[in-house]
Amino acid sequence: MNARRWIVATLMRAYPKGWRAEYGEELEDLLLAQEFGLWTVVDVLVSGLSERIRHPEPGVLCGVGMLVLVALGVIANIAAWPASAVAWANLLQASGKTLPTVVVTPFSSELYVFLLTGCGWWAVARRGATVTQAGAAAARLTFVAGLPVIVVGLLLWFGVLDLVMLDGTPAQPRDGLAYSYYDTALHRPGPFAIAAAPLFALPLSWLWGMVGGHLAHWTMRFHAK
Amino acid sequence: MARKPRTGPASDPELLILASLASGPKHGYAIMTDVVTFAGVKLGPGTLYTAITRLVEKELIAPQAGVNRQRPYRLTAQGGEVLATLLKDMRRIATVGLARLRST
Repeated sequence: MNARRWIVATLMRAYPKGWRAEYGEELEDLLLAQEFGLWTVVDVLVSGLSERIRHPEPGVLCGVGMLVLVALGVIANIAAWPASAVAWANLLQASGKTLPTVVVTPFSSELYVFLLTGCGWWAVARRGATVTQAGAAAARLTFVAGLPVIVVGLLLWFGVLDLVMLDGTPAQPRDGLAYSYYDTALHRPGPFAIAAAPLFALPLSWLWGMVGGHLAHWTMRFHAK
Repeated sequence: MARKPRTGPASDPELLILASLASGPKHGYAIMTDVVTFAGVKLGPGTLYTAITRLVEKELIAPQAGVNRQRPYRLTAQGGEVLATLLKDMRRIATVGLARLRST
């Protein structure tokens, strides 16, 4: 594969899979047949993005919804310092295990399992995905939803945020941005432990997505009879 | 290299594609070159296929079986009616606008 074909193939990834199946070959040939520069690349990327927004994948759509909730939790945690720090310190919790050290609380709730299963079901029943792809959609959901936590980990690493351990005593005012973390054992997690917390939820998300995918298959078979 | 299309109703990609297909079925590349010839607008490949996707969804154009990877598109009956209405509206507005410009 020459460089031009590689660039075109990479650009085509900007479009959703369903769109590529319908129009991908034509657009690919068109791009290979003409001279193209930066404006063409931007044009194709914008077009691909607009198609992705018009036909969002279940994992990304649900993930963005969860991302907003998790991001609000992070913002509330930072903004609530010091008056209501304890009330908003529950987004991240100590797992009590070696790995992962920290868990993202919403990701370990029963409600989140329903969301993952529903995402897998949606991917198969409405988008014709395979069970494996349903698992991937649910894992994508968790990855997208966990992005604010990854950002918190990176901000802690770069020193933009300061991790403040809460131990039940009243929080004291301080300079700079503080992220409050509550752990009775007072084990201070490292920035990478926090950044990696959503990634540890990916395998289980994958499995629940596959469960949703299987449920969709059974439902469709039941309706077909 | 593709250029950003001019703005305004006469450079709307969907209208340009409909106008291009009024003379017969064409595939993507042929539509692009035809639009440059009759309107002086070079549509980017992404813009072209976004507009084609919308028009197919609205059933104003339809793909035909192609001999290779390039499928030609044809104007549907509904597409022809929509194009005629749009062009008549544009002509009416242009006629009034030009007459008013001449009278000032």
